[in-house]
Amino acid sequence: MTLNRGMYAAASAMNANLYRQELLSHNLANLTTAGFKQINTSLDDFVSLNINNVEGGARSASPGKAVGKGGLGVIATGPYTDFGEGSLRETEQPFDFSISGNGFFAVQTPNGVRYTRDGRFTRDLNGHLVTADGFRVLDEKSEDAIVPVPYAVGGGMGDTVGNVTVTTEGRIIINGKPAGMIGMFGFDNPNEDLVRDDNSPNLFIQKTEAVQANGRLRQGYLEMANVDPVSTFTAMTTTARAYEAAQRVLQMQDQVAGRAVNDLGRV
Amino acid sequence: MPFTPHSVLHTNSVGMMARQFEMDVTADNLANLNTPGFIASRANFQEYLFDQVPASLMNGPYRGSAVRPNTSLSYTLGPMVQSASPTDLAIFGPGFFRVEMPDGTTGYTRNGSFQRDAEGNLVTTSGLRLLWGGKIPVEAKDVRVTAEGTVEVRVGQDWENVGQITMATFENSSGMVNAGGSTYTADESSGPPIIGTPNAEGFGSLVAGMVEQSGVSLQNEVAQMMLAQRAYSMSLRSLQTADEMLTLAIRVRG
Repeated sequence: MTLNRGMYAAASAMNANLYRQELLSHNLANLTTAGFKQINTSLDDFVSLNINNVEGGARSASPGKAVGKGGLGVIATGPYTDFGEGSLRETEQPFDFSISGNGFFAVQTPNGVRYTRDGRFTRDLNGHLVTADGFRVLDEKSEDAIVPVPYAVGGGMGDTVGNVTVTTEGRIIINGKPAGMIGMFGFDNPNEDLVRDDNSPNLFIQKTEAVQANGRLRQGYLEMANVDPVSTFTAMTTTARAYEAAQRVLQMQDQVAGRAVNDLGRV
Repeated sequence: MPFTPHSVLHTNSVGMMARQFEMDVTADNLANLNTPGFIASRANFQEYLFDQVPASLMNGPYRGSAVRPNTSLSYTLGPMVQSASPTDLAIFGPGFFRVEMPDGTTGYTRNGSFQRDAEGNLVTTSGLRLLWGGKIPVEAKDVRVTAEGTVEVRVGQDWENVGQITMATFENSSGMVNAGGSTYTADESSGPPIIGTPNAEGFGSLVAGMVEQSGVSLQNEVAQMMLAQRAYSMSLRSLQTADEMLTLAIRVRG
């Protein structure tokens, strides 16, 4: 039992670190995905046992004195989404948007309203503002945001940011006339108010009502992924070393078990 | 087991393929730095998950995930430059010329650097025929095209109207498909072409003696290429790290 306990603890550390490595890889793969929020994890004790000093050998009936706690291994907890703001990149495209500060875009998916910081929109054939996946972007009243003028403006190649302007509050202005709104929805504590949608991971499901967003919308800019290559690489190095250490421990446990089986048997 | 070693390797390889895709798009943009009427493409990546871990094994679903790409056309167009030829046409505003593709379908281009051929057609620099209603008589000495797309020729003393150039616009031109050079085709995301005459509402006007240059921005593309290259190296390094970790697992017993 005692030998197995050590082996399982080492194996759990290897598993948890491999999982961590996978999340870091995922973050790196999304280095150029606009609006991507990196996924972090941390390692926690998963169970610990009270260790008692048993006097008179293992068969003694006395419970013994507690000497402390012994861990049985680690588990990767979370994963947590890091909602830190990514850097802005100027694209000069009329339907690229970013939000500086608090605020999310709302989009209508087949499974309900979802929230995102990815502002890569296009205007679809009916004049609706849609995401790259074709989900409709919602206005401040949670209705479809429409860029209403037909193909003359916005949809036609040859237009620039100048023809369709969107103010920092999200008001759509076409040729000087107000024409609708892009909704921005605030969540004071996104880590508690939002959860990732398993079907579309860059979209978030709300757990609490949205509040007034005080972020500023910018047209012609995208928020880039908030993955920091340097810290990702540092984390990757420590993860690999922790994995290696756990592997050594596992090897030692194996050797101890081997000695127990072979040497103790001879006595 | 909570993990398949395959998923951690797969995530990195998908990351590398994504960067490769990004490099391909950038390389095509750079190759067309001097192609008149060329519209730059952009690779758009979306995060995705290809597998989920049962909740009993891990407190979350984010295993084996990475990215998937698509492309869209830029709304940014190239600058206009003066040319000497009266059959060089620039579109000021939205719209595309309609040209006949080698397979007989219709293609769309903003490259208005046309030349007359022996049969009276106007052809692009890549030899595609402009689709319009008229012919230019071979004996015509002078040709002029109005802002509204009316083509007039002079054989003797008088100018004569020989046809009308029409154009196409699209509800979502950024969804068009790059068909090579500076020619694009329509698909379900761009919507069908809306045909009209130059200078009508929703269509740009034609200016003869001007050519629209490539819309590719050298500095943007070079920055993009450097970023893709760095990101590729990072995913490669991450793949190597994962491989070393898995090797250690294999070598637990010696």
